[in-house]
Amino acid sequence: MSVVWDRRRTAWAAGWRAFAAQRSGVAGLALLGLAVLVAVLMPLLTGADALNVARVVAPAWEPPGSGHLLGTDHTGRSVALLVLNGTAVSLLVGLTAAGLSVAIGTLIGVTAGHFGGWWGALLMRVTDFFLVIPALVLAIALSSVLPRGMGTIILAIALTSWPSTARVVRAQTLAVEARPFVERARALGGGHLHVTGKHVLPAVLPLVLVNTTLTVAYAIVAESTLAFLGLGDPTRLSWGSMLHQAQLQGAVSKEAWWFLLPPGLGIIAVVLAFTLVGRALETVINPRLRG
Amino acid sequence: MLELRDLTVHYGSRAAVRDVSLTVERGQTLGLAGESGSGKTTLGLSVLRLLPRSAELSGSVLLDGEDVAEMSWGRLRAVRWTQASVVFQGAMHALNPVRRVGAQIAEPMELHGVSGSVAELLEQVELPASKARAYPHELSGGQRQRVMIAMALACDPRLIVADEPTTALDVIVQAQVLGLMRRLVDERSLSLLMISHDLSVLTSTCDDLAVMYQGEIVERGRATSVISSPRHPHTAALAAAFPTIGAPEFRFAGQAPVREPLLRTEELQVNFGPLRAVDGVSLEVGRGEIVALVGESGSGKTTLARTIMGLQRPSSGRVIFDGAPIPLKGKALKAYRRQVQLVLQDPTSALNPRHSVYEAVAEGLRIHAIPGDEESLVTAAVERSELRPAELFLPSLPHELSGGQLQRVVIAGALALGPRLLVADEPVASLDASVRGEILALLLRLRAELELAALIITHDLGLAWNIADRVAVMYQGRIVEQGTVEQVLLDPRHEYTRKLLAAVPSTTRA
Repeated sequence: MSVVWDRRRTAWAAGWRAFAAQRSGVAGLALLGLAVLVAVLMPLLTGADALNVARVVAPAWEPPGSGHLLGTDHTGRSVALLVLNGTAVSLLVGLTAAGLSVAIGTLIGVTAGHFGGWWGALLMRVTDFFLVIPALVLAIALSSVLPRGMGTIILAIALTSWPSTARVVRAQTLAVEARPFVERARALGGGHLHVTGKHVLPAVLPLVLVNTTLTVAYAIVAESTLAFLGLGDPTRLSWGSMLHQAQLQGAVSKEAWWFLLPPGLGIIAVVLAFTLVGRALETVINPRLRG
Repeated sequence: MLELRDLTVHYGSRAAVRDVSLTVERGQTLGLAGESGSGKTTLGLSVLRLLPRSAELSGSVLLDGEDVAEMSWGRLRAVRWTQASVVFQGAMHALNPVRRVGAQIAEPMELHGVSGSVAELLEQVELPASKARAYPHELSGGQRQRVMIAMALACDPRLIVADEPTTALDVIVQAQVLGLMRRLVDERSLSLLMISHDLSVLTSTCDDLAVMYQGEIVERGRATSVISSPRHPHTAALAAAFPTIGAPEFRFAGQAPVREPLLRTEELQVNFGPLRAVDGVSLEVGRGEIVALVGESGSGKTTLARTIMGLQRPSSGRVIFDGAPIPLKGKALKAYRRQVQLVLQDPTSALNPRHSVYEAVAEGLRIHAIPGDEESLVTAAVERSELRPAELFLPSLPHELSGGQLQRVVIAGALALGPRLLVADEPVASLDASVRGEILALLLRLRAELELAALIITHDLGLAWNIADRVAVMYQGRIVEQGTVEQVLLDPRHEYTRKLLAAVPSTTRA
């Protein structure tokens, strides 16, 4: 029905206006747009030779300003190019891991909340189990057992970050299921799929969306940490693996700050952007938070 | 004592109260009647300048000759509670849940440096002194309301503003609280401004009556004369919502012939742990028959309804529909639910706020994958429940409609499936007086046109008198009496039914 679409469009427009009214959220969104642009375009713009250790001609450990904007690393590659090219992996891992984690969390949260009873209790105890083991230790264990690669990193992050989403979603599911319209849907003859699909999920989704943006921030930090500890995919360039190399090659003792600082700032910028967007979305969805 | 002169209150551009002039003499009791949104609560709060900041006030409120709007902050504090006090709506929310009620009653006395004893106040509202140590959740609704009244009396004020003091209480408790208020007003020669949507409550407590409609006072006079010969049509509508049981002009249903049974429960029992909510209930509803199930809150009537719907499993006994026991799960239960439909008490929460009217009505059709053109089926159901023209309502969202319209949407959603029995849990309790009659008439018309039977669950004996063919009275999980409306309501056998009938406040008070 076109009326429904009209209304959805106006609802989205109103949501956007509320979002746009928050300067920090818009700044985060702009920063994010820039990061995505860099991630997509940089691999196309960088020549094949520029990052090839065997082909670079510049001297190693060159400080910034002398021909290279941010200096060079231990093999003579441009740090500026390395940082820009590392964006793609950080974003990709962050987004997919967060998506996977939120999907698992939502599924378990809705199931536990909807069915309740014995199954709900069991699922929540599993959730509690994952909540109490230190996420990083589990992620390290997982990525050292499974074969090296980007997939492993994504899986390790997703498997350790879903419990908080599950808890939040379960609480919201319980709140929605207590409303009389769910009773009406049951009385109309609606089964589990109908109740969860038509009434619970749409009510939970805004919350999930906010949770996703905040989880992305966590996932990016987790990816960098794992890569920094040398558990990342050795064939791919990311901010975490740059820090790992810097550490290995003794950038600190050589006082080569230009090798350490840029990837760190990259992580901070992207995480900050996601957090700002997430907080702004939270305010749009939950007007009580509006100050 | 209290005088309002040309009082007008605006919220933004909307006027909640318009040009109201009103006086309450010393010792006078005035009832202020009106529907939700008529501005009666706003008026009550303006007496002690308790309105939110967003309210703009013009005209004047004189309390004992002094303008409330011009009082200094300190003077206002001194006047609040010592000259006039308020019994707020909803005692559960107006009391602090983490403090003992004794401390809460003493609070205004401490603030104003008035001496007095909590035990004495409790005694006045007929509560044992030991209740001072109780927390609000440990008290029943009626006891909480008594605490609120004790609190209002604490500083010995001369005017009490009571905003819906007995709404949400059961009839018997309501009668007790009203009796208490009458006695206190007499003994202490208090002035009382009582606000309610319920004319019968007001007439049983107040000498004078003012009727508010859309922010204006439309009628004012002695309570008895306003009720017996209302001049404004709105007053007449309000009065009609509180029928006199036994009066033929309030009986809308015709004489029902004996019909073959459609639904029958046999020795139905439902336990929640050690608690027995439904205790051996045998009840029958015939084809096209309207049966009213009457009882107080906690009598197990809602649990019984849920069990009949198959939403709650019986602990023992069974429900028989159209000659066969109702299925407890799977496809058969789903098919059964096409035959029996539920109408809930509060239509604003019974509809998903994100779904349009069209989606809400089509929900059942989609669940049961009913063949045919969905749009025309939905339109037919919506028109059947008298929302015309249907095209105007179909795209609306619940928050855009009024309570009465929403209840029609809920009924339309039920009708779309072509049920044979409607189970309605307090179908008009949350609706305004003027809408109540329309919804009841709709139920009767549906019965005549579709031979739709209905089990109506209510605490309102007047409603049973209005439309039911038979009445069953439920008390502590058991049906204590059932029979035709005339038998049960005019010639009650069981003691509890008599008590219930005696407690119904009547607009024709001697």
